[in-house]
Amino acid sequence: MAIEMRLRTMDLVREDMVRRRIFADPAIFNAEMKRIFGRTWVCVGHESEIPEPGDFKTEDIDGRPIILTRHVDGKIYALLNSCRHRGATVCEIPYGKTNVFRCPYHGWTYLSNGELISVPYREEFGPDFDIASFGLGRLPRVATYGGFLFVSFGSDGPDLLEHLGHAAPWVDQFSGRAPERKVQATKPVKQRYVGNWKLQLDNFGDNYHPQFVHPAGFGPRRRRQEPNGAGAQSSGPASRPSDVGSRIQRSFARGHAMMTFSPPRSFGDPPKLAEYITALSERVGPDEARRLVATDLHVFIYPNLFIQTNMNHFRIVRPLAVDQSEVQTYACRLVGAPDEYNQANLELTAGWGSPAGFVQVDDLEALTRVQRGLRADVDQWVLFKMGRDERVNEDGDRESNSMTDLLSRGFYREWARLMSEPDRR
Amino acid sequence: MTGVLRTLGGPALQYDVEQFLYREAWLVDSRQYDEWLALFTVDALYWVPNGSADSDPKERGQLAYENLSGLEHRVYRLKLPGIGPQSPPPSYRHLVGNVIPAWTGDNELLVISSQVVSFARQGREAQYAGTWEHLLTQIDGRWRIRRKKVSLINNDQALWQLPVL
Ligand code: FES
Ligand SMILES: [Fe+2]
Repeated sequence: MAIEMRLRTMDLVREDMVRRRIFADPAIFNAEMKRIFGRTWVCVGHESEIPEPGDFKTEDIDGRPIILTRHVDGKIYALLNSCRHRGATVCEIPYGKTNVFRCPYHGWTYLSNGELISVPYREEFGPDFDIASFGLGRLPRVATYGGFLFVSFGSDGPDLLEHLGHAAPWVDQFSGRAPERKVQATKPVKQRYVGNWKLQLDNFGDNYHPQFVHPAGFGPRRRRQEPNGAGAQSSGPASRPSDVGSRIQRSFARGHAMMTFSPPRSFGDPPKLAEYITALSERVGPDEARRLVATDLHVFIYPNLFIQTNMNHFRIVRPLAVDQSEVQTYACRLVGAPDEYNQANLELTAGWGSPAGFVQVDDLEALTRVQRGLRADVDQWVLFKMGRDERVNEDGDRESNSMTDLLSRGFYREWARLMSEPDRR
Repeated sequence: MTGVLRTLGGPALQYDVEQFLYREAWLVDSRQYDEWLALFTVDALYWVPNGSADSDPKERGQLAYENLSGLEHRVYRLKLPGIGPQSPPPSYRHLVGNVIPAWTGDNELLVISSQVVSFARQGREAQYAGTWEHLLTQIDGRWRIRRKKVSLINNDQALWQLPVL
């Protein structure tokens, strides 16, 4: 295959820079969909979105429609959303609850584990027709960790826990901040940009840009919002993007990463903060509760999941085309925290992630500029040279405490590893 | 005064309200953001639902759901120079139609309209259509916006930029 030849022979990824072409070449994008999104673990949301038997959500990965269901056995199934008869999608609703999926074309009916249970005029298909062998296709693998829901189109490779490796304990800290050790994801705010999906990864790992891209800060001063819009502004300044004291950044095997900032970037005190800390203290003790609440932790799971504790949310990037991507922002409720605390967080997170909002819209504009600009010469390089103190720590992970491109260097090591494994079929 | 207001109806009310919506749209289209902001009451709500017109802000983050201080921040951002979505600034044109006013209180008028906004930036164009809901009140003889709710017909999709609707 032509692309395979090219990947082997072309110099695309070096330690501290990558060829611009990898953001702009549709053939490389197609290869990524096969070798990355078609093979490794991909995050498709959170299990709290489908808590009860019959609950489902629909998604698509690389244009392949899938349904994630919770079956009566309590297990989660990842099904191909395509009738085994002529191929129609059996469900076009983003979220819902149902006992069966009935194909609208000729009425074939499937259970939420994909089993085919009814075929109208079945006798016309002849005596040898075995409906048991025409269930909805299942993705080879589906698994959860820390509540996050992952699927893989590849039937082999490391299991999810091995895949997460040293990043796993950091993922745990997300639900660890909830008094009942559980988070409830709400439905996402979505935004589209004209740019490659990897630009969003680089933006996540980039602490160089905020003061330039976010001159208005990270949001309005925190305010209480009454249902009618009336509300008083509470004290507490909106944080400035440059308010970063000390930081830890780590790059793990397989492209995952974490960053913490201290003091945490503050958005003013959310309502009922003291009550939330008290509730969390009951489970973990007051010192650990204060530590967890003050942690501004960012975790990235390659290739598409971004977790942030400062606003209890996660984001998923969806590649749509070489220069088209979507970011979904999921605000999460901390189960056991006061409603007012969770509600204020929900509103702030939406403001960050919305196309009508005040933070991510600026980042995605910058990414759009990059996408347009790098076409000027796709054989040139994109630079990831920052980081004067990168070292390998006692766990064997790369670490830095300065402004650094450490995370992106890790992303492209993993990118090169996955992309140079030949296709299995 | 409120009793007098309520007697306003028929073609006179229709004309008055349509003129108000045209003017509001023009203030946005011509980027007179401070003048636009001045149309809102101190207890105003600016609301762009996410996912469906009846999306519940208690259940789901909204595309926008902000009070006057949030709107002031929006306008502050719109006027900042820099890399943000204002450089180059967007061009918009609102088309206002199907205006239906209905009194909902002594000095409270609900106005439903259909609007289409064409939006252009950097050679890219977008069109947003939907139902605009204005809850208006008269203060010192002028209409003011107490609530503006914009329900886009495609608000379940991932959209591009929505600086002001
Ligand atoms: S395509 Fe589904 S029943 Fe025919
Ligand atoms: Fe940013």
